[in-house]
Amino acid sequence: MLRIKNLDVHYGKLYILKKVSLHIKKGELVTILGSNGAGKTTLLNTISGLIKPTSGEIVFEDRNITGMEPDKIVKIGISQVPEGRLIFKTLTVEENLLLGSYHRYKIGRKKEIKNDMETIYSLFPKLKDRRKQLAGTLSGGEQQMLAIGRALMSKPKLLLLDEPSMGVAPNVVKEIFVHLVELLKSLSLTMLLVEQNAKSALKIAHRGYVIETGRIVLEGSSEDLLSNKDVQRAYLGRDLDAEVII
Amino acid sequence: MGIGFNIIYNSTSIINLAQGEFVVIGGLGMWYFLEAVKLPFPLAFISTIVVAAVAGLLMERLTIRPLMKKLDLLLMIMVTISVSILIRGLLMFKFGKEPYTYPPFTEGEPIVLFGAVITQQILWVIGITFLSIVLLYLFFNKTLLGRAMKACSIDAKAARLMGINVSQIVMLSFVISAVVGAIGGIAITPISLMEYDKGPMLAVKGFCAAIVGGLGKSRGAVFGGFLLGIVESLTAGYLHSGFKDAVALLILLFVLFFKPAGIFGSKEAMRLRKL
Repeated sequence: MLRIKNLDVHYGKLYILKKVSLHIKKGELVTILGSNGAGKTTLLNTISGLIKPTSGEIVFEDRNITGMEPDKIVKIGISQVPEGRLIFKTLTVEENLLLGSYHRYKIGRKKEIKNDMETIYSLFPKLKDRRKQLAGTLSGGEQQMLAIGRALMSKPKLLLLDEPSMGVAPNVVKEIFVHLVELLKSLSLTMLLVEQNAKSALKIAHRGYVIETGRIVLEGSSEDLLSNKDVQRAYLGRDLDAEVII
Repeated sequence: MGIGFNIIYNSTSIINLAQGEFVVIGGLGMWYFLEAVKLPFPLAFISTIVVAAVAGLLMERLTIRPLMKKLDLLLMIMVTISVSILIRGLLMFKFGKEPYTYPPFTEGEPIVLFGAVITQQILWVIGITFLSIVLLYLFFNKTLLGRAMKACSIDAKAARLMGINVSQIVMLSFVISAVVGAIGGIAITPISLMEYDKGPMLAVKGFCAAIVGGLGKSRGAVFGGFLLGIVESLTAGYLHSGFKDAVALLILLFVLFFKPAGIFGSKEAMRLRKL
């Protein structure tokens, strides 16, 4: 569905991404692991068109989308839940969701969009109770759900998620991840999940990539990555060598 | 006037200090088309609006657009000052320094209400003001495009991720506010005359009105405007007409000291905006 080939991105002379290549099949949940500053967010923003790559190719459903404007990219079906949620805090929950449907909004489609909004509310019942509240007054978890709901309102085929666990209480993180798995099945979505919380991400993902200082250093199925020594040491907080000695 | 500030503020968080010039363009443009070119009233009105819209468009494309990437609000606000000086200079070349005026929209006897004399033109001004508040309220709160404009000001990056073309929205906001300003200028010129350098004073007054009423709220701007106007007239009548202009600034200071969100501004929105 999405294929990235030899993607280079740099700010000025500084390389952020070097020859990144990856692919996502339809219906897959793929996770990208990596520490702070490894280039995960840059990768997502490049896919969304916010950052223009220096070289390389991004192909979505047999269509070259490299360097396309963000509004076009949303239109063809890639939606991002940005890092830090970036919801519109001084607008109401409902207005936030409505704005998610911006690109397909037409006078004749009001009903369809209303229905979609009800679907989102049934997925996240908490949002329905607070539909008239200003979005900034929601809790971190609720804001994250709103951000996901807002992205879903654009009817994406591919959903990009940037650190959905950030700034959210641990028990709510679990809830959000459960929701993600549900969405994958019920809406037949494809997802690219960027996470620092490697363990939870690998638990729900089919495959994963590990990115370090702008390069993909490892890829494999979730099981492989979970049992990989380097991944365990770097991202799961376990040092196997140390354990053996003890 | 204050309403014009709000439109651009609502969609970009920029305070456009050249807003006063749009009002002057409205007044002088109307005079030009009506008295110099001798167009009939509706045609002159439309021509003036078009000129103002083009001025707003050019201003956005030439000055704000190139700076948008830097995202430096202060820089952009300063650029609006330079644009205002530029427009003032151009207007002076074209129109000279004399004040201009033209006959009111409708001729007729002034109405006497509770002993106060109200000319028909004042009724026009009030009517136009209320009409624009209602329309703008509906636009910003009931239409998706209006909400998209607000979204752009809250978080431009998120707005882009929603598929909103931010640069088009910013352009639109400049055009709308130029048009609103020009309409205001067209309406007040028969009452208060219009000359090339009236812009800054109008801008200061309008800015005070917008702040006093709560930035981003059209209702507030109008209320603030009336409040300022009344207090100014009282000062001119009871104290000294020289104090008239100082009072507007004094009120602005007091509001900023004691109720920074403005009279109609919600504290909550103010707080969330900062987060």
